[in-house]
Amino acid sequence: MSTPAAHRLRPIGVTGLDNRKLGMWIFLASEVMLFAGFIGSFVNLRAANLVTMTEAAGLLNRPLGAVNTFVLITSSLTMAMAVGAMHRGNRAWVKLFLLLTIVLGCGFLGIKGVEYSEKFAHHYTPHTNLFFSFYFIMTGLHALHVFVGVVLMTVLLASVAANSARTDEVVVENVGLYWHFVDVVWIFLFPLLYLT
Amino acid sequence: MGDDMKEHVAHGPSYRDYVAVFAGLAVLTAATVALSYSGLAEGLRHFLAFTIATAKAVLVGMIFMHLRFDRRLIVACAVTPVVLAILFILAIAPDIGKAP
Repeated sequence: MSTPAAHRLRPIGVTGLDNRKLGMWIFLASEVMLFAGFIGSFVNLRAANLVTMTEAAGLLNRPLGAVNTFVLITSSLTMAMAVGAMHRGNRAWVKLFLLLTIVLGCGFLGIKGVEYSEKFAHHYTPHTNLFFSFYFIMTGLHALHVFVGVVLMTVLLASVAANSARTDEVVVENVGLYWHFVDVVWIFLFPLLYLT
Repeated sequence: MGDDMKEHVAHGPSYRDYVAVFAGLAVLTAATVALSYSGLAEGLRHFLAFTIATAKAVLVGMIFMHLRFDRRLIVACAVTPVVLAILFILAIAPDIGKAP
C-alpha cells in the first residue's frame, strides 16, 4: 500500500506490512485447513455412502439455504463498504455499514435457527446418520464463526462510535477479512450440502 | 481521469466495484440454485456448481478482501493454504468410494 493513509498504519514489521494484518491472514490460513479437513472428509465419505447421503441432502430446506446465501453475500457487500468508508475517513458511513452487516449476520443466524428447529422437530439430529452428523458439525462450526463475527463487529461499532483512536483502518480491515472468509466458507458449504 | 477512477487509485476498489462484484455474486448464486433443479447429469452438475463456487470465492478474495491490490506476501498467505487443502483432498482421494 502506498496511500498517504497507509503511512499512518502501525506497527510495520520487517515484511513492510502491518503485523496485525499479516497475523490475520496467517490465522485465516489455519482456518482454511480446519474447514478443509471437514470438507475433504465429507466428500470422501459421501462417495462411500452415496444413497444415504443423497437422500438425506434432499431433506434440507433448499430455498432457505439459498436465501441465507443471499443474506451472507449482501453482508459481505456492506462489510466491504464499511472498510472502503474507513479508508476514506467517513466514520458515519462506517457505522451505518457495520450496523447493516450486524443485522444481516443476525438474520443469517436467525434463518439457520429456523432450519435447525425444523430438523429437530422431525427428529433429524447429528446422531441420525452420517450426512446429518456432517451437516450439523459443518454448519454449526460455520454458524459459530458468524456469531463471533457479529460480536467482533458489535465491539468495533461501539469503538468507532466512541471515536476511539485505537480503532484505525487495519482493525476495521481485519474484521472485514474475517467476515469475508466466513462468506467464502459458506459459498462452498451451500452447494456441497444443499445442492448435491 | 474521472472522480471514480481517482478514488480507485487512491483507495483500492471503488464503491462501484463493490456493487458490481455483489451483482456478480448474486447472479452466480441464482445460477447455482437453478443448476440444482436442472436435468443435467449429476457429475456435470457437481462440476459446474463447484466451478461457480470457486469463481465466487475468487471474486470475494480479489475485490472484497483486496488480494488484487495487496502485497505478494499476503497473496502467498491466502493461496498457500488453498493449495495445501486441495493436496489434502487429493491425498485422500484414493479412499473415495470405499466404505469406512
